[in-house]
Amino acid sequence: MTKTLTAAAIHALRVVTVSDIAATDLEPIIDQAIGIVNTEVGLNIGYLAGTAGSKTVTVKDEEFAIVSTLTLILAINALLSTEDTRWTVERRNNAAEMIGANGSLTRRYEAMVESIKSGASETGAEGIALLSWNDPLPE
Amino acid sequence: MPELIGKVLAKITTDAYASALKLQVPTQMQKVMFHLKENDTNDVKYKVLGSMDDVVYEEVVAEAELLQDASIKLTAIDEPWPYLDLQIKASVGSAQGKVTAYASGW
Repeated sequence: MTKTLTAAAIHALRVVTVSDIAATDLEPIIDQAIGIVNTEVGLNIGYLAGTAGSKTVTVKDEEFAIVSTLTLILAINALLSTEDTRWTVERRNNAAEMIGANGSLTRRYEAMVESIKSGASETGAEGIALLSWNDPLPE
Repeated sequence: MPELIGKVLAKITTDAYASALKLQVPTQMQKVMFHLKENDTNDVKYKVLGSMDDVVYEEVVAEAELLQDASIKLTAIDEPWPYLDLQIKASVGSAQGKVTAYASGW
């Protein structure tokens, strides 16, 4: 199965909003995430293409899972590193917790990377397919 | 864990090479990846320099050309340089381009 990876699809995960980071600002971060995933775990995911603000790329479900997770980590990290005051202290704390060493996004990303690197399959696809967005994190 | 470690938006070139995005790479990072985009103005040239001390720099990524409105995803630099400097210049003198660049490290 495939999914269309877009900035809107990342926003739809409801971790960062359009007012936090606009689609045109999120797209370069998605491309960074794709590049890192390709380099780090040896996948060959295509980059976004099309008109800025509505760029798309079709990816496998499991590729969507790992790229979207890393995109959120990169985006939250970038938002936290600014002096932007749109986020409440509570929201900043929650976001920081998600990308901390034991945070949900960090653990999810590391689990997916490990699944691929451990050779669960030729591409690791079966392993990371088990970690779709709404699944509970592995213990 | 990967992090965005730098970005520059619509940096205007000059006729000679000048820094567009200089990074002090966090010590735990072993790889750095640059993505570049020319903002539909003019062709530009770019290269990436590395340094151990922020004084003496050497070429890490050789000069290449980025055409008007094109983008490039550079292969990750797989060497632990403490300092990296993305430099840009106009491909043709007096015909300045604009470069947006993002860098991530991990």
